[in-house]
Amino acid sequence: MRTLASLAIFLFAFTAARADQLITNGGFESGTLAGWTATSTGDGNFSVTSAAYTPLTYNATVGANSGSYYAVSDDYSGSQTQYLTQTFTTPGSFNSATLSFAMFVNDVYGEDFGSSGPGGEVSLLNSMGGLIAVLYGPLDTFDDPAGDPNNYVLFSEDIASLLAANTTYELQFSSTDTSGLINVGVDDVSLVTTATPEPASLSLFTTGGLLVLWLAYRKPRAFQA
Amino acid sequence: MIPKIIKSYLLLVAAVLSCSLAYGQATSVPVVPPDSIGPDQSRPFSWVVVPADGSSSLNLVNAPGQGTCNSSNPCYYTEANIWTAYGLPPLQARGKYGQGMTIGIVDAYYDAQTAANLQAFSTAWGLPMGTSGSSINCTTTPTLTIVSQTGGSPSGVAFNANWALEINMDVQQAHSMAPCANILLVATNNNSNANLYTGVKYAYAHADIVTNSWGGGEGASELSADANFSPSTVPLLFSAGDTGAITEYPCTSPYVTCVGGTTLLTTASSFRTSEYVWNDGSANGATGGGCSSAEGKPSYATGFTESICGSARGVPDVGALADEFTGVTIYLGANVEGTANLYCCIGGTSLASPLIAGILTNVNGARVAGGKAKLGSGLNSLLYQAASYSPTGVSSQPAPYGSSYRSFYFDVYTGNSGFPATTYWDRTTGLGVPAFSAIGNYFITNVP
Repeated sequence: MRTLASLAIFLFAFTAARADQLITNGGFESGTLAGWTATSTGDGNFSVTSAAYTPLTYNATVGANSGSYYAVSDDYSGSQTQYLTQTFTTPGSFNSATLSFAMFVNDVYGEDFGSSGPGGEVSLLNSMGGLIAVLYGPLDTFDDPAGDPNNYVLFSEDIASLLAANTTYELQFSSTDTSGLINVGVDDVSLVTTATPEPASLSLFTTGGLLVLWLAYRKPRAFQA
Repeated sequence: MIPKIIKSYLLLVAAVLSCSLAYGQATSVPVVPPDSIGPDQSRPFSWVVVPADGSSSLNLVNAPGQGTCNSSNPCYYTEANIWTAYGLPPLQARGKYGQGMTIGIVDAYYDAQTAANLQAFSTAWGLPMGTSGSSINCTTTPTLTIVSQTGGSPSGVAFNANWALEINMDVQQAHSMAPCANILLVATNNNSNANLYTGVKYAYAHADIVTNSWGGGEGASELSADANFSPSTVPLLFSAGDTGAITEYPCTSPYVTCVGGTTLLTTASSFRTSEYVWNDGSANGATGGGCSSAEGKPSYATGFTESICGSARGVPDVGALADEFTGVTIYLGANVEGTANLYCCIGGTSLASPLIAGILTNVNGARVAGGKAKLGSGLNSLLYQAASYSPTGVSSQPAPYGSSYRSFYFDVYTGNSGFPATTYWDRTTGLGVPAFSAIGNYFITNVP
């Protein structure tokens, strides 16, 4: 009976406030780009590493924000953009959609010689790749008083107002070289939607939960028969 | 008229070398040492003995990055520190650590301890020519070959303690930058122009790249001396000199790549935080460079140097670490310092030249592995061409610079040598310090 009671509580809590993680491999802890697509307009790309340096040009980074791995952009000849993209689909209903991530931007000089450019950016795209909104950035100058390499900036914001239900979108990180090489690091990407039922549907969910509880209660007895 | 001086550009945190080079009809040529600077009789600091057992206690390097390296607190980089600071590991791996290539080094005089010193240095830092094993696995064990200026036995060539510093630093640093490459050291009879030029000619006929850390004052006769270098089919590198805003020959020759000097600072994990013009004052040296009084602007420098040097050849072409107070270690035998030891520290533009020669040897390794020819005598053209490169064909930089300029070069714009550093080309470090893995990829991938 104790087991059944706790199951009932779990079901109630689950149905009362449902949270869905829409991002796969957001912390890159698979050690790969699984779930993500990396593209580039030049000779560089985003890649996943656990090392505190970039893979092509060996520039220092602060490493992973948490866990072992993170994704970082790097290229040889500059003047290009690397993209790191993941497609996700929103659930049928949600009240909030909290996007969070950790991101750093380094350039080789610790400054950008006054040139303009997007540097590091985070964008929300539609399923056709069309821009819906720039969520964060551009970041292109970094005189971090702590010195290079720069630390992660943590981002967390509810973007539910930008999202429709049952719709496919793309979340895209980009790294665009300005006058020198830019390295953008990304880690701990998360997009969590929550659905808090209205009072009317809450009672419906409660009833459903009790129904499940009753079925769960019956099943063992059937096995005993 | 500035007297012609030939010196080797070595600044020891304890020794300055002197040698003389007189070219052409030059009158007398006071011979100064090679372009190395370390503690020597004329430097106000002394050697620090470094434990040569590869132990972790070697690390005096708390200072780089802390800004406290000076004559009373000299600091050095381990060889792995240099690799990291210059981003070499990816390039070294692509270039098979220079396997199959030969680095030529030309120095005056002969130190019979050179091979033993190289072995001890390599043992301390875990390089393939050491006896302690190495994490770098060469397909074929690299060799050090020492010959006289005509390719014979060097055993009859005289010893000179100042040049011994240059010889040992050149050999040890070249091995570290391209750990699987063979080294050909040409020991010339003395430091006269004629003998050194003879040595250079032997070296470029038998090596894939040649580094030289010596030079002297300019003179009209240098134009005819260029005939010693123009036939080379391999890159020739020279150090720019250690006496500040002064040009030296052969660095001003359009047929050689002239290498200026920097001070390098890093994080505790030895990634570069800043790099600026090497200038420790008149007592301890500063990078050479300027506008040649005799040589005209070569076509490859068109657009890059005229605003400063007009129709004259401007030097240096590139820069690299030279500051002896953020320098490197050197293993010297008892014949030089009384006790055989690994010592801290040595530098000078004498250091910068073998560093770049060694690093480019990895580029050669990768080019050959990819079925391409080794870098040739057109290295300078490639260096300036790289600074003009734009991947999209449209530059975001003022002409003649390309969009990739600051990806391929760390543009040194801080400090002065007597001449100020500026953004873009200047008389302290030329185009800047190559970003070796990036420009290396350009040389490997983009250059036919």
